[in-house]
Amino acid sequence: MISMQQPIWNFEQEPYDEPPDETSINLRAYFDRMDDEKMQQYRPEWTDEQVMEWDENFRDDGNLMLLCCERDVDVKEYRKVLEECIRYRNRVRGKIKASPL
Amino acid sequence: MWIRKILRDLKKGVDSPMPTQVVSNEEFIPRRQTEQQKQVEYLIGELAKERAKKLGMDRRAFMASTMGLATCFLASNKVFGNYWDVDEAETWEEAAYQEKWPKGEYFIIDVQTHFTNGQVLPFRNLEFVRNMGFNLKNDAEAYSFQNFVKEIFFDSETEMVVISGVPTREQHRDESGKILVDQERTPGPGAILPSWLMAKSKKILNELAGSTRALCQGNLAPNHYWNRATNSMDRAATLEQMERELNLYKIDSWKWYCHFDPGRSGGGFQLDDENAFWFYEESRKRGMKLFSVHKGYSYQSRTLGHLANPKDVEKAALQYPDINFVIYHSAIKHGPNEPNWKESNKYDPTTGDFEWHSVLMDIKKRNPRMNNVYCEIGSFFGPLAIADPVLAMHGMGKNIKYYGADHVLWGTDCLWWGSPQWVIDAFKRFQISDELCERFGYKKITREDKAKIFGLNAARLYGIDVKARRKAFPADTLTRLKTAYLEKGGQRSNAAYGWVRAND
Repeated sequence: MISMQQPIWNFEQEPYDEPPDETSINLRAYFDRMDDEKMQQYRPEWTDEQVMEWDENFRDDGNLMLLCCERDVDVKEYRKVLEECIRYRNRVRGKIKASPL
Repeated sequence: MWIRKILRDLKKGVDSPMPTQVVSNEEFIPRRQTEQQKQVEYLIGELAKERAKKLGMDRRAFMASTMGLATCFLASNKVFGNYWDVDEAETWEEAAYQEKWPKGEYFIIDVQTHFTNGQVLPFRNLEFVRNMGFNLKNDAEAYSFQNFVKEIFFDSETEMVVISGVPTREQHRDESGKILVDQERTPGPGAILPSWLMAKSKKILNELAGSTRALCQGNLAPNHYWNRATNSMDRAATLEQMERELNLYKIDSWKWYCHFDPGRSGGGFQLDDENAFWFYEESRKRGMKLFSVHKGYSYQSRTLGHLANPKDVEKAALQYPDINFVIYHSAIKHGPNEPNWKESNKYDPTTGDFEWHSVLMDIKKRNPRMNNVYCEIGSFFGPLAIADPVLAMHGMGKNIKYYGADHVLWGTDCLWWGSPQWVIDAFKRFQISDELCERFGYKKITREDKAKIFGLNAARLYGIDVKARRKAFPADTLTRLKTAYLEKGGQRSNAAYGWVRAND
């Protein structure tokens, strides 16, 4: 379920390696809304199928149900950005938890 | 896991011409099927079984008939209250429907139709589809188009469509400087309905029909060509594409999504920003003064989400009174279509306000003489009607109260919702209750109002001569194909292609 509240995280507005389109931006926003406890369950060694099952928000065509995006997001792009998000959270968690936005 | 509604229905053995739950058009997360919707679905099944048996029809044929559709509204009335104008007799005999709703009473122009994203659908092997008279490739894209024609024109009363796009940036040239054409302009996956494809489909359809049945929109918007060195709009590239879409594609309106960024500009845009104003001026010089704009449904990105709020309509509409703005989805943000709408106060039952839709209504309240803004009702009226008819009364009641019946446009967002006949029938049968008219100052919707909303308003905006079209259509090839299709036993599939949860 999408939370209507803005999350404490702001991975969405961290610098990008290359200019983002709305799909890249919305994918980061999607992870900003993922519960921290759930995100910490992620294991890089999982198969793609396990990841899709764990997230519960993939479509049967193999793409993420991401709203208002021109491009589809497959599990490969999903994992890449998720892992970047995990690194971001590990970096800022202490600071954010001490002083919530 | 998300699956298409058609698959969910096949698995559950559900066959209903009216969706009994909200489906996603990939612009919002739908609520799970509610208890009331479950009851409606169950009742549709039971009532249809009884009728089909007594009439000696197989259930599939019954559900594809006017009786099957009437049964859906009867079931809805039993659950939600007596809101839809449907007689028991209509569920037993086709003649009762024909008598009550004379064929051709309304001239229907659907200003929001989409293909099914190149998906190969199970109908492709049916004999009547193979012989529909199209000379197209044997691929997913071609079959999507055939299905579009079947579901929209053969299986519903829709007479004209506007093919509505999804924001896509076209690449002008390859590395050698050669000007690219068609598919070359949108390489790689993801280009769902680029301008070139809409224009091509419009041309194929109109040539096939021998008359103008389809119009199309152009996707170009102020942030599609971006100069990263100067971090500003690439006006030369934008003008090149503008000329192409107007002169070569012969688009009939622009279609803008302020919260998309296919040009990777780093953000979206607003209707009242400097780049948009420049675009209006250039477009106006070239004779195009119709702007269709997605507002409402948006993702919650901090950067982009708020750009779908209709707050920017006011300044643009006031500054450019000769330009018409059609606001898609009537700008409803999330509201009762989404899972946590109650907690988030997205709908206020004491006022009948929906988030962001109320912003659009307030603009007209502040500017009663503003005459160039229109409310489009695709994925607005339909989902509200199946969520709870009272919600549809508020939504339509406010659109008509503030903007007037001559400023509301018929759109369905089909094929996400399957063939649009169910929502056409719903609007024919729709009325606002005496209680809501009294409490909220809404007006009863007359048949004249419905005629305007179904097509006359769009005809005015798009410059369509309805009298001439009505004369031409009965003799065109599309009508002949439709007649042959029906004579061969062609039936509406009752399939919706939007997304639902696999376990819903």
